[in-house]
Amino acid sequence: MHGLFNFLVRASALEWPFRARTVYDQEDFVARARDEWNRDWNEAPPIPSELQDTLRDHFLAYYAWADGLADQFGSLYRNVFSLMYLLAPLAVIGALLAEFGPSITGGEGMVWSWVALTELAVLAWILWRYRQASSSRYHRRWIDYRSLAEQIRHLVFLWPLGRPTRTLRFQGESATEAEEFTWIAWYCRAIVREVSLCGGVMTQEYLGACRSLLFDRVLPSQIQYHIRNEQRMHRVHHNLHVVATSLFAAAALIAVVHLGGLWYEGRLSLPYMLGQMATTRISHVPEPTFVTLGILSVLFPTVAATVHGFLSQGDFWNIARRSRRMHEDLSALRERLADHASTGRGRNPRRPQSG
Amino acid sequence: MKWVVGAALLVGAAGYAKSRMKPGLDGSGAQAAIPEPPPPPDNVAFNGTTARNDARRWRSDAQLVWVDIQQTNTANAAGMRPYYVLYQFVSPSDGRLMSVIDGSAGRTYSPVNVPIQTAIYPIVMPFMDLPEAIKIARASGFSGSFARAYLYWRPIKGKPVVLVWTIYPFTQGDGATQYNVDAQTGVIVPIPQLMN
Repeated sequence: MHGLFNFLVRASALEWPFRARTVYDQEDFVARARDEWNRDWNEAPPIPSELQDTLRDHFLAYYAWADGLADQFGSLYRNVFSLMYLLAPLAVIGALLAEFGPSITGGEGMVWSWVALTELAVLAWILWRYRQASSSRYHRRWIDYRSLAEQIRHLVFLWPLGRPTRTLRFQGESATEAEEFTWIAWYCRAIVREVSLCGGVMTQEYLGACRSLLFDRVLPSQIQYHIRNEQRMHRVHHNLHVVATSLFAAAALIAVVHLGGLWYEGRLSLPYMLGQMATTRISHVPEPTFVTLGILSVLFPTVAATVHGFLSQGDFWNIARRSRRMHEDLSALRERLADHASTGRGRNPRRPQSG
Repeated sequence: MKWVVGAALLVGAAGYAKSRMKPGLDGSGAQAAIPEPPPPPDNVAFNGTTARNDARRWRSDAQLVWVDIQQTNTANAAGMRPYYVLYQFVSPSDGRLMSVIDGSAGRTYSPVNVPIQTAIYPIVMPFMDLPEAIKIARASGFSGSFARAYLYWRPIKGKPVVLVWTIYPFTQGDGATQYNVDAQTGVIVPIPQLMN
């Protein structure tokens, strides 16, 4: 269950090893977020150690906490829906085997009763996990903590400039959710109140360090993240799309074979279909083969629909699209910063391409 | 007879076409009226007291820490409230949050299971009400309609914290000027003195 979504994504993107390092509880997630911060901030080129230490002392604990919880609840939510999509076809297989199993093995067998009970257990497990995810509000908590972590990420380069918080204006559909995010706005301001005013004189050297913080540290890591994410999500979407389409095609092939059998037996002739004559020939397909093909003709579209459900729930296509737009926008912003540094003033800002 | 039926149909069609015309396109030259922005909510302070009483049924030590008022999408819809008013409470004993929201759905309560790790600055009651704060802001240049306001203890240069109404006018783009009113003295607080 732990790491199931990551496993499926890595497998779908054909990234070996499929099994990523699994983390289990809140402490692990927070520790991992802290490690990632330290790794990112210890990379070259260095920024002034005084500024780096100040930012770490003020924001690392809050950021690691919010980012770790966002990852934890995001992982919980995604693992639950992955499990549901994975188990649903198993329930269908169980139902089919319980019904047609005796025909395949040629006789009664208590094993098929156990299969029927297993199907019920799988359905009960799905319902229980769904209810747990809903009542624990995994999705809501994931989005809340992610929003908070990203606002703290912005604080890291806005606070040294004395402009730590912005008022977010929710527009369109998201405006109806504005009141749900207000605790995040308050909490972010409470963090700034806690760390107090950024002290110092804004000399050219200090402003250069702030620029370096954004140019060399914040923007490159975010651009790289979104480039990787776009490529990975695009691969996941493409590969799963191919799998789902192939399964539908395989089911169609079985349907053609079935129709061929009917044609051979004369059951596709108009007089037979109008009930005016009996079948003329009997094909001698073994019963187990016939039943197995029947099961596959149900199973393939079921698994294909499951893969499509996973694709829709995971929203991989839109995530890839958003990541592309993000790295294009951020790259354009970084270019403008570079222009600023080389000319000492800003050129006409180029509009980022929309994705 | 057929002429009578034809004339009736013609009159009916003309009436239907007129009723489907957009305002301002019927040749009269009249333009569609832009709806007046709704007035900002009053009784925010009074309702804050009742919200606190509600919150203290959740946690007996609940403290009000944040008031957030925003114009909503349903501002011009009949029967809908034009603003939501959100009162946020914190329980110092266990650091949990509770939002009491006066919005289109009436009064709703939304406990949030977040352990608060920062210092808590409770808002003193009663506090200056929003219309009064807007009046002071207008005397300092606030123009246009009100869009959003929030009240909380803000750090300020030379003092630890001050209880401030931060008020935003409605603008189409980003970068709206904020007006900050000390909710205890009624004095405008210049932006450079504020930390966040």
